[in-house]
Amino acid sequence: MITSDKIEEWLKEVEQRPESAPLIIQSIANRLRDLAGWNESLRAENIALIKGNRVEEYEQRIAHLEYQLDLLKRQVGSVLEGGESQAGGLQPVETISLIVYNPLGNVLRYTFASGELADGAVVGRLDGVLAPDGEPPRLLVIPSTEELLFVFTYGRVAAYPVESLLSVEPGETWDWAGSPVPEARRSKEMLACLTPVARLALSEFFIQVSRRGYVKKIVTSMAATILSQHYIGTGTVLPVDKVFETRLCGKESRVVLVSHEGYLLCLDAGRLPFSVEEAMRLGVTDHLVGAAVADPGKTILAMTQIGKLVALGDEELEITTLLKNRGKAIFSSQRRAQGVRVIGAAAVSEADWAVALHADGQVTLHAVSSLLGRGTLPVAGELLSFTTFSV
Amino acid sequence: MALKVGLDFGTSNSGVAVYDGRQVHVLPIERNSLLPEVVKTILYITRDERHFIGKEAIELYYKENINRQRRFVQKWAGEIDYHGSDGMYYVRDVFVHVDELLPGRLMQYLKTALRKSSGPGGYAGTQVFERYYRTVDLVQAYLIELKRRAEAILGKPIRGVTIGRPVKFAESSEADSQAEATLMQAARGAGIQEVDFELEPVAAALFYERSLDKPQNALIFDFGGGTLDIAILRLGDPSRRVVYASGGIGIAGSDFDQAIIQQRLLSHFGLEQIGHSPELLELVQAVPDWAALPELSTPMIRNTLEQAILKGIAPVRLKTLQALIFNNLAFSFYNAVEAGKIALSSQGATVIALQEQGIDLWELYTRSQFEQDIREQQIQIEQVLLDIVSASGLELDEIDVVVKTGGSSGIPVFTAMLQRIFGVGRVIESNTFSSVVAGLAIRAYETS
Repeated sequence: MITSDKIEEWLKEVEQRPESAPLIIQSIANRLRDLAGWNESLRAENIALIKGNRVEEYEQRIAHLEYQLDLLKRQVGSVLEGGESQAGGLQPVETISLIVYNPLGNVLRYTFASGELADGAVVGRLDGVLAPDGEPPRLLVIPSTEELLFVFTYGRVAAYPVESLLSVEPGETWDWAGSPVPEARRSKEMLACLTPVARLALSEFFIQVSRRGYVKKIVTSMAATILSQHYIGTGTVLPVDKVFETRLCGKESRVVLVSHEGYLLCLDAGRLPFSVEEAMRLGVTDHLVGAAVADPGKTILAMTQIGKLVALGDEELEITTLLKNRGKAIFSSQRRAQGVRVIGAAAVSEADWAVALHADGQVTLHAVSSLLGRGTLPVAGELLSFTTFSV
Repeated sequence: MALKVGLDFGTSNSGVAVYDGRQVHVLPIERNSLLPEVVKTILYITRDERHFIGKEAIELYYKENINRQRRFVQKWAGEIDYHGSDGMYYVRDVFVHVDELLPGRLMQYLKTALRKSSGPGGYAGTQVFERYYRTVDLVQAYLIELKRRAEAILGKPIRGVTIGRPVKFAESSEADSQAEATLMQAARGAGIQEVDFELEPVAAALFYERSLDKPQNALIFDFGGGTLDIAILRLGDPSRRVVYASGGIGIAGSDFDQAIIQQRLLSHFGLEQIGHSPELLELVQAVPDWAALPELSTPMIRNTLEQAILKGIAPVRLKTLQALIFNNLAFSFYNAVEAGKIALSSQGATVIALQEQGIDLWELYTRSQFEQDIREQQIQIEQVLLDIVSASGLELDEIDVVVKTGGSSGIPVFTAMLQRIFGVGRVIESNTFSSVVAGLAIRAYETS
């Protein structure tokens, strides 16, 4: 505290030793500068308090925490249920949901038990026009206890528990016509992707990837704001671009991007930018078809439209620190010239399973171990979509 | 090849130096310190009997004691015999509460222990956990570590040492001899084969003495971190050296630091704002004592402070006090005060600041304020100085030169005092921080 007595004493020093004056003035000026800065931030804080912004912020934080608690409860609940059945001498049964969706917002859900998985089985058939807007449908397989974030091309988001989505009966032929649209599109927006978010509390970042190779990350502590404002951002810079995938990942995770023409780029999630920046430089005719979060020990599996797969082990994934990088080719230029294209990519381990959508509408199930062993996925015509999942 | 070095074993600070025949090298014994040539004469003994000295000892003491758990148990300490008014004779057991989780003991003023180690009621030693340390054991533990550091820097073993000693350890010649014998025993116990002594004021003036072509009466004003030692000698002819008088006072650098905190900084911790709350007042008054602060970091005191803050009693100041006690900031705080004091020796104003972990302490401090704050000590020092001159039997104008040395001798108000008493031309400055140890190193070289 600066009292008048102290000021008198400083003046006395200046009277005794005038050469002390510049030092005293300099010290007081520095202190004033610091205090002025703090005063400004305190006043801003005061305004936020008076206007209730802080209350809103804390309410949002509480809502976010409640939401995360709810997600965790749901997950823990399913584990406990499994534990109880195991205690009763039965195998734990987990219900898995296969989600097929298209950019128009149509979502088909087919459920099956994890114990029913059979290599090469036909899960169902999609009838009619498979790609009404020209884009092939996308596949996602997740536990039925998951929570899905619907991400639209204009940056809007909406969250739904998987169990709230209508499921189709076994044996039915699926058709987009009359299929449910859980979250109606607005204006000209399209459904970009569905992101499982039940592990939000255990993740550090959202990674948003655009079709043209642009990337941004968002800290998950922003999730409360994202969910309450229903907006995550477009993740794009170019007008013709649109968001391709939004994934959750940790600080140490590696993000692997795979393009249609067979290029792969591995990035360190912790070093990705918070602003939208071009991470992978793609050719004019190329676009991303896979964005996987690869934890250590995982193999990257890239599937081509003819059923040939390319597997890259952990040691083959070299992290790139420079952005605007073309990445490395995962097959030869001759094969690229012959028209071989990648339709999807995922990070897998041997115990995982894969689901593929064929051009004739068939949806087939395959053990990853057998795919890795054969190097191909049996296909009559062409593949449209491909995904993997863990049990 | 083994070496012989000079060792200044001071009340507050110690140092080691070596002379190669051309140049004195004061060893940087205390790494990562403002003054690496000076190591605090402080010993920290841990429960598992490891010994640490200097800054390392203080840092470990803070680290191990701040926010630690405490568990007090009752232990039998002895008996008291007394005769009641009813004519009966009683024997009562005495119990003390001992903290059985205490991680270590911090020992200061080892040199003072030497002075008081003889005679009935003298300081014989202390129990440290399971072991009883005699005075010689404590000094020996300190010297072992000091020797280890010096040998690590020199890359050679130390064979011999010339240790500085005051003109009088104690008033009685018996106690004086006893103190020197204890110091010699400790040095030998530390593995030093050849030990001899030189008077500290003589060592301090050794450089100056070498420049003399005729004998002179010199007053050595050795003003360090812990004590002021004054000696009046006849210098110039080592074979006919005379000590006219010597003495000192336990006022020095650390007392000035305490004075600054007491006079200027306690208001930052709530003094004058907390009213008449004895509990809080006691906490604030403990701030100048660096060794006491870690002992305050108990859950009970944290609760006391929290309650006071909740009640709105000087909340900002008490939060600062809480941060100082519980966030391991005491060392930074005392360093900031010492740095401010040192700065005032060369400039008219300085800022004592500590801005971290919830503390925003800022104090613009001027030399005139400092001189006002240590006015009382200055009067005492002047009195002691004049008393010693009087005891020497010499008149002021018979003292040919005043040699000032030691960190605190650079404080302008004391230079002005000496110049006022003895005249400007008669006051000279020796190497501020290392003249005693440098002189001891030269003497070690000459006697090796």
